[in-house]
Amino acid sequence: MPFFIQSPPPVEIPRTTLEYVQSESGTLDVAPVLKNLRLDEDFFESVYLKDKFFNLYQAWESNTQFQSSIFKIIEDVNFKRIVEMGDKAIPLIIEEIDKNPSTLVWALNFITNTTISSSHRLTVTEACRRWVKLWKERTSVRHIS
Amino acid sequence: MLNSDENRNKIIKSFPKLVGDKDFKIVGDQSPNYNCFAWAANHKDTIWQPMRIGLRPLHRLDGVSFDWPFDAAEDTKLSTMIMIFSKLGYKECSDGEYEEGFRKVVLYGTEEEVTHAGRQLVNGKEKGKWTSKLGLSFEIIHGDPTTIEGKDYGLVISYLRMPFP
Repeated sequence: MPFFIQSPPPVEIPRTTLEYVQSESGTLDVAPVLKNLRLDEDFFESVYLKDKFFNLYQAWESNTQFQSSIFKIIEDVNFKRIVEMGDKAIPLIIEEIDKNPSTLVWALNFITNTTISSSHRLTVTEACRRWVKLWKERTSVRHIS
Repeated sequence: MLNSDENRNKIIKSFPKLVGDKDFKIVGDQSPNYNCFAWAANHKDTIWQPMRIGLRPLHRLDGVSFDWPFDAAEDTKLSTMIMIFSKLGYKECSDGEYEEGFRKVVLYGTEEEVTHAGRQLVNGKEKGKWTSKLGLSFEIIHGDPTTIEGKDYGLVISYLRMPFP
């Protein structure tokens, strides 16, 4: 007896379509499409950066949590990679030290080549608060202007 | 909760000998404001960290005191640490047994690099037990200085004591 293989029923696979927006003048108007694409790019870049930052932050924390030597803390490869992220890491660092003041503030010292100046010696927690305050003032000035 | 199983297990993972230390408990939160060396000398507002000029970052780090007190050499050699604690009134002694009228400090690591310091408590119900700030993480109490020996801090290398009124 011949051997038959029963094929599955046909399924309609949804196809991705690209829609063009036709303007009233009859010319092709791609601006809204490009705007949407740009939004998506920004969104994915932001998600990627956040993800990368938190993975590096967690790995750094885990590697150095009981370490007393600052040299070993700032020489950790994950800390260096946070610093290498440059300006893009700043809002992520600020957000993190706002929730949980920590020596992550040292990454700001490296990225910006700046320390918080004060007439007296600040603790790490006080320095974190000052950084967050300065950042919020700076961003609110931007919004006003 | 500070002394929760979750936090205790986090510490025990790095310091497995604490499992057998019945006095082990977490007493201080994960403060980034001071490290073990500062805590051994009774300071809670700075991170004591010597660093040779050539090794220092170009800019200062917030909350860090790179210079040792008493103009001590910029390193963490045992001889430097003993010099610093001697300026605070400590002298080398043979062990970490509690002695009435003395406060003790314990140093860990090697002759070339002291990695950690702890201090013996001399008051209250914890008298005779040891307090350690684990890096920039939790502050703990433990009954025996050797229970935090291991891969992070190495072995106990020296004990020092000072008269305590």
